[in-house]
This record gives sequence, structure tokens and C-alpha cells, in this order.
Amino acid sequence: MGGNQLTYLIIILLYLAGMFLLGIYMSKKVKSSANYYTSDRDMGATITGFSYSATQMSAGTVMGMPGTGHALGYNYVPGNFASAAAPWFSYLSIGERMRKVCERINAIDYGDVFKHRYGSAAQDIYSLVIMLFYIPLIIAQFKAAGDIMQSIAGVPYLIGLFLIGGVIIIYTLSGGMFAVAWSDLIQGIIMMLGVAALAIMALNKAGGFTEINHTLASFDPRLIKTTGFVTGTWAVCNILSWSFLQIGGSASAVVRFLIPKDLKTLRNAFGYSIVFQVVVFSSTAIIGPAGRVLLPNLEKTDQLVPLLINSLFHPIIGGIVVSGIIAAMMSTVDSVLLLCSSVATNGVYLKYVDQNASPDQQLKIGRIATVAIGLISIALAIKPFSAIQWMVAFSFNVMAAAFTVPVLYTVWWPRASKTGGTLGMASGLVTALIWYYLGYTMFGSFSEWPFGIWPGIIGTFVSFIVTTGVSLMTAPPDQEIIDTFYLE
Amino acid sequence: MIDVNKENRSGNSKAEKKYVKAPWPIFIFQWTFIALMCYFSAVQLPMGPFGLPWNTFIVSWLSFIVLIVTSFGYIYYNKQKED
Repeated sequence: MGGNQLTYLIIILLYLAGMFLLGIYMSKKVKSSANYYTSDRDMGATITGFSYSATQMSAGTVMGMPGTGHALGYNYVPGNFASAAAPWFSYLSIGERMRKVCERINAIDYGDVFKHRYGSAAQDIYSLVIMLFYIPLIIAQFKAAGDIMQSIAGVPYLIGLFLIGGVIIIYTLSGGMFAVAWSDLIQGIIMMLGVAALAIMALNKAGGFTEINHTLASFDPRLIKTTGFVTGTWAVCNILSWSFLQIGGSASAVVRFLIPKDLKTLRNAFGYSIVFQVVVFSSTAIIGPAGRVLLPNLEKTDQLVPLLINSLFHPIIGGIVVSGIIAAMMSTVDSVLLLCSSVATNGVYLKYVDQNASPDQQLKIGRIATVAIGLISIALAIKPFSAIQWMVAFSFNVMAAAFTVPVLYTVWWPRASKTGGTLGMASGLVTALIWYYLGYTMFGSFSEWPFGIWPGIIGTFVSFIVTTGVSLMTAPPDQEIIDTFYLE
Repeated sequence: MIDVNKENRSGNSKAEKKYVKAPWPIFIFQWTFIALMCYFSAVQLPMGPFGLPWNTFIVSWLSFIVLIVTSFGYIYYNKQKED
């Protein structure tokens, strides 16, 4: 282990110890299953805003995006902008209404909302999709954490995996949403400062904006275009998916609308989210092209960020930046873990096993589910199947196709019927899966699709047609449902 | 289901209930902006500032500025309304 690696490891261990202690401290606040998942709906604007955004950002944001920027230049930058614009759609389109509705029906996640709005079958589809497609996302983050510990800190993969996985499970298990939201705030600040510092250093070292762009153009003129390596359809899908489809595709982030103390706090949280997202995504948009200029012959683009950290920073600062990368993974995993636990408790145990479970039993089941899902994910990450990174984009597209339209109609269209909402969800899900299958049979790849249209986009379109059409052909919802969901 | 009329005590008759209306101005603004970004992503324009084509400059750096300015404009507008 080299000197830099030892310094990185010490700083990472200090950071992990801090997260561990936070979980233990927050465990005192957990009193029931409801506040385990929603933290008493009493969080402030800063925590809510950072928690939403930190959840949305993962290893892909801080490692994958700069790597893609290195390979494709500005072709991928519109995706950075679209990701930064995600709160624009989620907060402004559904945030305040969803918060109000969830308070009325005492919901802890989308599953509760769908059950009250569209019926029991819709909640079952939601539970199935979350459990099937979110666990691979946890595995992918665990794998990335193990890889980073190995490549940057020189720790064997398995030790890194167990260390980071163990800390996440302990603080999520102990403190529930209290620990997850507070840790997201701390992780978000470390992540934001880390990537911003890396972007400034890389920009400075590469000679500034104009110099970087001229050098890129001299390498290959396609690098400074938005459609040099990709088609116009791909570019449009890239923007639509990472902005608008976050409404349905990021269920673990959107549950943050349930934790602020009131609507004014939620509105201010939107400001924090936007600042956080613009700083992080504009920084990652700089790191990619600047990294191409500084390290033009990189074989594995995933190694761009670790190599830049090693070459640009003093080891102590580098250690903090590395902690920021690990923070990005942890902030995603803890939230997804908590959401899967709420689905296992609320959508499965309480619905099918014991409907009369006491609040204490519910909390116990929630905690057992958190540990079980966490341990299963760690076990699967020991030898992850090769398509695990592909599964992350797959799960996002499938969830976006299934949930985006039914969620929007839940808060804005009283005429949406139970059958319309349920079939709309099912049709979006099935269409996205069929689209992946067609892409694979036509191109032999899960990353290419008919007409270049992304599965999340076509699935959402079909879901829109089915939800709207079936709703107009079937009976409208009961007046009680309309009053609950649509009275001001 | 909860008693939502607790929140609407001003009048108990069905005719006086106020239902929510979709925020069309926000939807139209969001989608106009996103449509413009999609357009600038898909076209090829001549060279502009900082050694980038105009469309690349707009969809990468200018869009971040518009995003943050309009977001804070929205928050400021709401704050003024509340005060």
C-alpha cells in the first residue's frame, strides 16, 4: 500500500466511522414504523433538498458521467443538464400536491398512494417492480464501492464491500429515515465540494474552457458536437429521460417529498436541490472533456476520476474527494434500501401476512427487512453477474415507463380510473420490457433499440395512451377518492 | 380514507368544494424549455463562443445558467406571494 493509499484509507475510515455513529445517535429518534420511514415529516429545507438530490446521484454520476464525457466529449453533456433539471419536473410538477395527498392518506411511499388511488392491484405492481428492479441497483452500487476501495485505497474488494455495505446497513437499520436524510446531507456536501474541487483543478490544469475545446476539436471534431457520436433521436431521449422521467424512475428520491415539515419548507428544499444538482452536474460535465485533454490515451474511462484525484490533489484533499465518491454510492443505497424495506413491510407483510401487526411489530419487520435486503445484496455483490451495470439503466427505464403517467394523474387528473391507472402501469412496464427484447433480437445488445428510441420513453408514451384511453372508457373514481386526492 | 372536509370547513355543500387545477403555466414553461434543449441537442449550428458550436454552448453551459436563474425566480415569486 503506497503513502497516498494509506492517507485515503484513513480518511475513508474516519468518514465511515462518522456515518456509523450518526446511525447510532439517530436510533433514539425512531419510535414507530411510520416515523422510521418518514422521520415524522419534520425535516428542514436543507436536509430535504440535499437528501432528494444525493439519493438521485450515484456512482454513475461521479464516476460514470466523467468517464462517458471522456469518451464522447460534449455528446453526453445534455444528459448532465437534463439530470440537473430533474427537480424542475419532480418538485414543480408533483411535489406539493404529492406531499398534501400523502399527508391526507398517511402514505409512506408511492405504493400507499397507488393503493388508495388505483386499488390493490396497482400497489402489487409497484411492490413487484421495486423489489425486482431496485435490488440490482443496490448490488451495482456495492460493486462500485468495492472496486473503488480496491483501486484507490488498495483494500481487497471483499473487505471494501463488507466494510461499506456493513456501515450502510447499520445506520439505515438503526436510524431509518432520520439517519438516511441526515447522512444524505453530510454525504451531499462532501460530494458537492469534492466534484467541484476536481472540476476546478482539472479545468485549470487543462488550460481553461477555450483551450480544452480547441484541443478536443483537434483530437476529433465530433467531440465538441452534441451529435458527433450519437443520433439526434438519442440526444432527445437522453434529455427527456434524465429530466422528465425522473418523476417515475426515481421513486426512492421522490419519497423525500414526504419528509419536510410543511409546503413552504418543501418549496425552499427545491432551491437547495437545484443548487446542489447544478454544481455537481456542471462539474462532472467539465471533468469529462478536461480529463480527455489531460489523459487522452486512457483505456478504461472508469479510471479517469481516480487517476485525476491522484495526480491533481494533495493526499489529504484527495482522500476527502474519494470519500465524496463513496458518499455518492452510499446516499443512493441507503435510500433504496429503506424504500425496499418499506415495500416489503407495507406492500407485502402487512398486506398478505399479518394485517393486524402492532406498531412495534411493524417496526421490527421493517428493520428485519432492511437487514435481509442489505445482506442479500452484499452476498450477490460478492460475485456480481456481468450485466450488473447495465441493470442500473434497465431498472430506471422500466420504473419510469411504469410509474411516470400514473403518478402525474394521481395528483392532477381526477378522471383517471382505477382500471386506467393499473393498466397504464402494467402497459408501460410490459412495453419497456418488450422494447429491450426487440433491441436485443435486432442488434444483439441491451443498449440499442428500434428507431433509437429509449425503452423508458416508448413505455411512458404507451402508458399515457392506455391510462388516458381506458380511464375515459371506464367508470370514473368514487367521489371519496376525488375529494381525497383533488380537493385543494 | 381521511375526512378531507376537515380542511374545507368553509362550506360543506358539494358545490362549494374547491378542486385543484393543473399548473398549466408551469407545465408550458417546462416543456417549452425542454423542447428548445432537445432542438439544440439535435441540430448542428456554426461555431460560437469558447471554441464550441452555438448549439453545444447553449445546451451545455447556457442551459445551466437559465435553470438556476429561473428556479430562484420561482422561489422568489412564491416568497413574495406568501409575504
